[in-house]
Amino acid sequence: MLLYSANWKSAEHTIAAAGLYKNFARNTIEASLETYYKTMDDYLDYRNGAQLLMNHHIETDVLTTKGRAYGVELMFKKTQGKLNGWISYAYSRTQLRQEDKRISLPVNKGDWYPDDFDKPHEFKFIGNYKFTHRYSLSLNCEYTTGRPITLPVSKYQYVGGQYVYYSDRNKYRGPDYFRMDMAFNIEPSHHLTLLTHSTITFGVYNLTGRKNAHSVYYKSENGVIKGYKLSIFGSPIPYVSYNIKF
Amino acid sequence: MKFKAIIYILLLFVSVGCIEEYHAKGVEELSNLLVVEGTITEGTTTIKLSRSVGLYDNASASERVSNAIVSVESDAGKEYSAISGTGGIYTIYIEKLDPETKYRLKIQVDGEEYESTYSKPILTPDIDKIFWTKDSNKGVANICVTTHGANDQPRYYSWSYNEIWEIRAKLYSNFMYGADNIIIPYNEITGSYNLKYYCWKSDKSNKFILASSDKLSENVITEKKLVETTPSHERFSELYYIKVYQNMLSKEAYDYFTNLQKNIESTGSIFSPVPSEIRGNIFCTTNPDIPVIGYVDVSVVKTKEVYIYPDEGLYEPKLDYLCFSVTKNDERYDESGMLLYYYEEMDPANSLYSYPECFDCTKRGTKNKPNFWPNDHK
Repeated sequence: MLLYSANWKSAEHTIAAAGLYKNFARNTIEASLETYYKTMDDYLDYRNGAQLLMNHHIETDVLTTKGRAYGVELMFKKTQGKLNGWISYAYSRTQLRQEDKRISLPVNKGDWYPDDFDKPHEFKFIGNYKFTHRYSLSLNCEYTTGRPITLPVSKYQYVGGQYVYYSDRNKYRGPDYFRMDMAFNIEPSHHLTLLTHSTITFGVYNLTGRKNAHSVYYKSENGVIKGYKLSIFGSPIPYVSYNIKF
Repeated sequence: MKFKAIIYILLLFVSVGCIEEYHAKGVEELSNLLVVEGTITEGTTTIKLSRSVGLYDNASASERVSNAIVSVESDAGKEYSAISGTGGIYTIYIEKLDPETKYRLKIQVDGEEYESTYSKPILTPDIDKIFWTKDSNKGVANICVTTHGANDQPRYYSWSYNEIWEIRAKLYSNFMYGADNIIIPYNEITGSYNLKYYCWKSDKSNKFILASSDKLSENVITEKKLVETTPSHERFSELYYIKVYQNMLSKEAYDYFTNLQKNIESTGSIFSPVPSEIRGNIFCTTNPDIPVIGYVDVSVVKTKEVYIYPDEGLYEPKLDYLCFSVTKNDERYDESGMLLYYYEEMDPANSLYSYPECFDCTKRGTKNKPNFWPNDHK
């Protein structure tokens, strides 16, 4: 989204990671525990009140920040058998801070604040069940904490209309994200001599039809402030796909 | 046929509600922030003080602050005190602003003191022209303003306006009811006028109208839309009046107001920046951590007024089928809604009936005729 130019230093990241891996049940289950810590220097974020469109001096509306990201991930994977797939849980944080003394009004008074994509809890499940070599069913579930949002916390009258006062940046959380997809796969032929192998999948994306929030925003309608949630693919979407492998 | 049905069902699935209302939970609402509105200007300066309220409080509950002590101070050592009016409105009279002197606003309220930053007055240029434009095909009519400043002056402007228009009832009633419902025909010689024929209505701007010429080589604003409406709007049907207030702004004030306006017009798209607060130029000196809302510039306000007459060609009446009049024997006579409005003294059976909205303008407007109104309509 932001291009690096002569006005900004390129961001510098330092990362340290460690992991523990172990297999169980005659190597059919793989378990892993991983952790990481990352620091970021000169990472870019918007200044408060940034004007992005038609701005010829966009470099004056973004600020370099310090960032830190850390987390742990636990994962179990089953690779063989009629039922296979993996399940994982991750706790991870991404936070930013504007501590440059030359900035007169740093975001959130120079304290650490969550990045736009900071989602502490993330749970994933992917499972496949093979009925026969020809037919299989797969299920995909994903749950994450809602994205950080900045919300209006107060309202007032000005120049005859209604206006709002916003909280510190990313102080609140949007609704949690949850999605479940299901697919039924058919492999019509397993002949080794065939030039191509094909599969047909019938599936439903977002099976539960949950209206996950892409963003939350507030606007004035006839002088009254209303909050809205924008969701993309907020209903079950059936699909059919035909894949060819060669 | 079946195939079509399936397609429709699929479309229904996919298209169901992408945007819905949202009420955030667990938000600590912040209220009681001091809101300061106004511009220090020549003549009468009006400062409005209020306090912010919680997001889901009643919209009209914006609290007015009437117990403050307000004054304007100059760096030449002069102090101009405000006369506090009711409803949180304070007026300060300064005969002339000295271009080389800096001024600031001082407020004392509820044990705290607030100050705006010192600044020199901005000499707002005159409004060049107020005019209307319209596009009948699109059904759009605008009232626009044009102005220009010197190239070494600030390139930021804001406007506000008051509008008043006359409305006329569709039908002219010829009598009024006296005591005991006696019918008294109007008689201009004896001074009994039809007071339900001409009425007045007013409106004013209710958001920031801002423009800048900072991307142009000259400090010129052409055709800035102030009022956006339709040529068939009743405001143009008779005589229309608009008074425009023009302010030249500092860049800081312009950025501040632009941000406030942007914060209530966001669309939640992927690329819109996170809404945020930027600070105005008013600070709490006794407790710097208390946020204050508002920006008080020092600027000489310029005004201009125009009338738009119905024969200028702006108004395009909508066909109005509802206003007809009938006798009591007519099949269209509606006993529950229609009232007698035209009395035939000679032949009462031919008296006419119509809906009150058609002959009584007070159903839509008021009798608050401004004293400067340039006609003698009663």
